[in-house]
Amino acid sequence: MHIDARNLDNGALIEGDICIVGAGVVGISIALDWINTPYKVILLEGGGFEYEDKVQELYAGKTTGQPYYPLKSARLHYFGGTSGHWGGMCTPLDPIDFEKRDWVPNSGWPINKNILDPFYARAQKKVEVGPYEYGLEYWQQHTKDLNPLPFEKEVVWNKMFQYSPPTRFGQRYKSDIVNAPNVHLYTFANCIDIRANDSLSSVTELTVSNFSGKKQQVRAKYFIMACCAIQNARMLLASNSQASKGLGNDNDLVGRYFMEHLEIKSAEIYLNHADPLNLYKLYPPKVRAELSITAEKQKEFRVLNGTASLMPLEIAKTREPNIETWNKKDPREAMKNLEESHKISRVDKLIMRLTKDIYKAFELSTRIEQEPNPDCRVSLDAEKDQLGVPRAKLHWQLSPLDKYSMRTLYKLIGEQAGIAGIGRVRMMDYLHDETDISWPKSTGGGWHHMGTTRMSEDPKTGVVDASCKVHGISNLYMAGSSCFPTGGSANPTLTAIALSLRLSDQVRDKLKNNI
Amino acid sequence: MDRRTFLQISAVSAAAISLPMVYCKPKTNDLLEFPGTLSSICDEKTIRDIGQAYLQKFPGENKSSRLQKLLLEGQESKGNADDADAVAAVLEKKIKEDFRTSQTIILKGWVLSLTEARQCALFSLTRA
Repeated sequence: MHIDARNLDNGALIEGDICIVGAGVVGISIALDWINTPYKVILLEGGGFEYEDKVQELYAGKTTGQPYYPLKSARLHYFGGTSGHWGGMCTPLDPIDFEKRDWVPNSGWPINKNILDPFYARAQKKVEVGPYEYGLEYWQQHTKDLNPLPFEKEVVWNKMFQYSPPTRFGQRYKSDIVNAPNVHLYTFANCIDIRANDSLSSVTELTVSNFSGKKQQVRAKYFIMACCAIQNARMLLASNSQASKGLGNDNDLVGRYFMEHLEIKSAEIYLNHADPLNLYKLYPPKVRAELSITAEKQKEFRVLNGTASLMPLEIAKTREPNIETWNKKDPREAMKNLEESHKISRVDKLIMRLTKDIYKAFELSTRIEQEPNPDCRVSLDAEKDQLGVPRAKLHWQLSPLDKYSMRTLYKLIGEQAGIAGIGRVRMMDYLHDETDISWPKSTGGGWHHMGTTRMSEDPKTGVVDASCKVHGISNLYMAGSSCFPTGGSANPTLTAIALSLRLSDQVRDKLKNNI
Repeated sequence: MDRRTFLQISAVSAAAISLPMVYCKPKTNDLLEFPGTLSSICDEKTIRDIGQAYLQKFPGENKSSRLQKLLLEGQESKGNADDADAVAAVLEKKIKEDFRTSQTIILKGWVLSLTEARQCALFSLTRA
């Protein structure tokens, strides 16, 4: 069922069993999971079914520290959310990503990968990829010519990725949601305040609004915030009429530990003999691999988890760094540039077919988690958006461990190339000096926002518990990548969905048991 | 390195490496100062730059005789020191062993074995 909140009366009351705030990848995944249940689901979306610049402007905010993309364009504010510019790469986190690593400050999840595995399998279906199989051997049985570089398995392994079409959730699931009798989708319903009871132990209602100036109240037994890492934190911080530091923020953790995946061109590998390296090709039909350092070597060298992807150097040279191509205030332009940067053009294909030597040199590009850092954070700006909510302010700050880890990744890959006798690796200029902790202008992220309401069993070190419930508030949940304590090297979408489906089950159990 | 240079180097290196080794039986010193794999993927200037970077880092090795001695360490037990094939085999083995034991060095961004870095250094001294 769909209701345009602009047509509702001022002061109208919306009631349901659960209220999901945000109809992006995570919010829609949860809502789909509740179709045909006996429960009334309220799904709130701030925008409509299409892009509208005025609505998108609500996401604008300032950035400081390491240069970052305009916040306005890094997330999409309409039904389907950021799946509208999603690249579609899916892979789970690695077991080591969940561990407490003594060389990574503030690392460690209160759950392990085994707990998430069944939810990953369910998440796979939502994003329309193949079976929950990420072993190279499995895919070699189903796809020809997936030959790995001959590196020692104890040092470098091949992390597999599956490609979603990519699923544009807004288009793919609109009819499922709109036609579901128990799911009540409200468009143009922007959450502007969260109210709790006097003891702040449970949320009583949300206030939603839009540009019509009217406001409505939303009441439910459970509230699930699925607005993305920046907006989840912003809403908690901005709901400060009862708690001056914001809801769930007794320990000053909300907004802190914002994380991105550093995505940056980092090195080149020159091969003795040309090899198309099909296993590592960007956008093959189903899967690809990236080079990753084994957990044992991460422990030995005390580095973060990251991967290196390969692209023929001559093609890669024509690609601008992400920070330049995605650095547009209008997300439609950023989207266009994103699509262009991922596309292998006809000219590229021609070059690849005619020039055998193109397969003698490949660019190595990094995706690496960043050290969880309390000073890398989202806070509130003094400026307010058009609905009166303080804008988000992001301070992006990288660490020496981030740089050391990146350099070590290529040192190890370079040594493996030497041992295998296949060629040599050359790092880019900014990695030459091991004492240099600065970052080049080309440093960018993957539009992967994580952290800000991190998960921990201890309220002093996390905003939410292992079930993603806000500490101290019995019926308020944070869904998605804002709950990640660390980022791993996996694109976060699949994990965000898996974690949210787990949350969804737990809320449903509570409703069933009337807790 | 630009594409044109890369392609040129690929072509040049095929001749530069395989022909002398197979047909000319180069002298030991030629092999010593000629890092095989690296020569097949980059040009002389790059090798020279790498060599100079190495010498800046290890000024105590800034002599051809010293570098030759270091490069030939372990050669005696393998047979005739003047046998180019034997020298080539020893160098190849040493380079692989360097990588295996992390006796590596990063010069001008290149992840190199210590042995081939010394070869570059010798190259930069003899072909300045």
